[in-house]
Amino acid sequence: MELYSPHPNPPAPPPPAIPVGNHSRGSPYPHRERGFQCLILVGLVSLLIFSQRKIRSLYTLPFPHFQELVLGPEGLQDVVTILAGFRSVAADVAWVQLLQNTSSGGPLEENAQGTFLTLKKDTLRVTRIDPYFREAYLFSAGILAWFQHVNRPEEALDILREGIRNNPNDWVFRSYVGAIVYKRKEDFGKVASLLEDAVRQPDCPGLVKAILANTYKKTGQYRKALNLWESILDDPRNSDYHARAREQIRELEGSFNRRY
Amino acid sequence: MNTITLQGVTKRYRRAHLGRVRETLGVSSLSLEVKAGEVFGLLGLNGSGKTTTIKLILGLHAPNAGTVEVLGKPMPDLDVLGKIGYLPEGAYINRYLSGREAVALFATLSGVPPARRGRAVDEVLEKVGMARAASRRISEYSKGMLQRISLAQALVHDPEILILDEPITGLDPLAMREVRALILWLKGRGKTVFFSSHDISEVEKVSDRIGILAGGRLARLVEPSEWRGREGRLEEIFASTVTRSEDIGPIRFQP
Amino acid sequence: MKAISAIIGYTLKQHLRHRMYLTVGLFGLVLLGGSLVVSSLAAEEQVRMLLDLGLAGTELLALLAIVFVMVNLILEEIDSRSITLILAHPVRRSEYILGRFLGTFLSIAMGMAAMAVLHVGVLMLAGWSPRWIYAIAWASSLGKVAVVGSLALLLSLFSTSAASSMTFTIFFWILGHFSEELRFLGEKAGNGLVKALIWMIGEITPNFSYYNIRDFWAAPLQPPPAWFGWMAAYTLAYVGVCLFLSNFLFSQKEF
Repeated sequence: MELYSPHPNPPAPPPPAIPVGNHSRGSPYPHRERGFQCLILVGLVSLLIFSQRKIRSLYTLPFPHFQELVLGPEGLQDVVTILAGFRSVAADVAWVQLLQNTSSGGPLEENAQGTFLTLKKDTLRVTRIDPYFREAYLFSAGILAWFQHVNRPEEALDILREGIRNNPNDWVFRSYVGAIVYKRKEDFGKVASLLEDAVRQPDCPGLVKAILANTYKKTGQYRKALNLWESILDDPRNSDYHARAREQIRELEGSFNRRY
Repeated sequence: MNTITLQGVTKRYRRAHLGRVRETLGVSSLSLEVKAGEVFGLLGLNGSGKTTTIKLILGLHAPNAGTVEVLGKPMPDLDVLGKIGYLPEGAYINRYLSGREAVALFATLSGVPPARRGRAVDEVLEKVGMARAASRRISEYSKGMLQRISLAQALVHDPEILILDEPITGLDPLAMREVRALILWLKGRGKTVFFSSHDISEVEKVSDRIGILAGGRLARLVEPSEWRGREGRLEEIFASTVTRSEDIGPIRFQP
Repeated sequence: MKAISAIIGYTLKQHLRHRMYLTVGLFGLVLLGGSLVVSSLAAEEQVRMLLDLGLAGTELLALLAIVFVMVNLILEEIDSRSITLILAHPVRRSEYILGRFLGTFLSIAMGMAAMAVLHVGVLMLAGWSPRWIYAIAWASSLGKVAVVGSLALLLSLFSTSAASSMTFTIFFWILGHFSEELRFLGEKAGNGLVKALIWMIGEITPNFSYYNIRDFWAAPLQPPPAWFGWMAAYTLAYVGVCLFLSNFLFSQKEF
């Protein structure tokens, strides 16, 4: 059935078909325009490839590969966070978990109970994610080497060696190594002089300052111990040790008064 | 000279879904010409190809066969688009803009110079009766207000050609009268107006020539002598020219 | 240029007026507040953690926002048909794509800048001294956001559903952070085909690890200044290729 009346004037034969999607917006030179577009694409792709090569040749990303990560029960958490592009956050979360595992509810002291059996593994978990997380190396090495109920200097040295490998320009790690070696030999004078250099660094952990203050006290250098505890009290970063600092300052000032 | 020329234009739409390809005919071997300064009305049932024809004229769709020329240039052409004012069927304007911002945007896109733009926007908003509501967001407008803003953007750059897709659909009688007056005003200023509708009574009041689309083809071209002065004649021509597609049956409620 | 500026302008207005923008902004504030609380658990490394969480939070919010917005950017305009009216004006499709992309990217960049200002304020209250490397890390995040955004736009035009586009974009985001590791595994692979496949994936996917300046700004060996220049070139090239391909796909569509 015809749906419509035939057109009174027969239509002219249709000209050749225009390809669908030809939205060149009326250019009089479509071939030239297409050629120009191809040129732009080739240029962009070339720049992409060339710049990628230059980026790789100028700098290698300084991270261990995934196979070197210490993957425990929180391994999935670490991998997912790294794959999402938040490596430093993954290291921070691992650090907080390390602190929670070592925490006794207050500032850590050399005579703290607890053997911190997983401390080396927890530390390596942090440093394999972020090899430049300085505090992690120094904090853990301090506990492992100096805490009376821990006393595992070999583990401390393993951590510090990894720190030196990843941070070769950071001499503080070498100072710590030296201090641990002298501690073994019970040469506390040498220990103190090595730790003094480390303590002068603005980001030195409060734990290490406390260790040095106790070393001064052990070797009878009470004035130095007092000054160091006062500097701990003045440093807002070492707030965990402020109560201990006040206590030590009272004790040391008391002993000065008795003497003089 | 012909302002708009379609010659042997065919447009098919292909839709592929799960391996099945379905082809729908938009328009087929469509040939028509619109002269400069003419008001051309395109009549047809729903789905007859009116909007497809308009999109082909604007260069929004590319024909599978045939040529589409406006002002002697094949479409799409950026210069020509700057001389066209398009009023779509619905008010397709970003609802986060205010009325004034929307009209100013289209004024900019149409090439109204910055020095003249502010004044042109104010004038056209005044003319469409939206000067006071212009600072409100599009999302807050009623249907009638949206239509007015849509009209404003079509007129702000004083185009040579107006293309109106079903401009009176959904309007109240007062608004319909205003649109009719607008078309006649545009004609009086020498503009070419091409509009589509399925309201026969409105089309016959303003058009110089009328095309009847059926099944994607130009079934009939009606000269004014065929309907002017003869009430109901255009409706008879229309009814005798078109039949519904096989997919839709008639509404049968008779006393 | 004027068309691109006009499109950037209306895109910016659309995003800044969208309720989602305010919601994301408020969520950003909550994130910053949360990071203050969480960082207190880090003992003496509170400032470090505050720095990391703030930068990561800003980047995560920006990435999620740009994926969601870019994927829906063109699709929403197609659905609402407002794209029909835009393209019925003298606007090149490339101008439209570029304008919409830049407008969206700018709106996200503004949000990131606002968060950075707040973040630096919080850090300074915690005793941190501003360093230039922070600005470089922030700019690097912005570069990553640009690349992900351009990928999202390309995938939205390639795919037919917003959900699949978002999924693929997030897949590329993760693959981009894994590409360095993939390269390492590829070097160890014995099979030539596997090697070639991995090489190809490595070339196509952007290497996002290089954008994470925060992760290696404490490393003993730092990249030379020229490296940052090449990173900028790489970002521009990658975004350029994605936008070029997006324009190609977009020009094939009819509305």
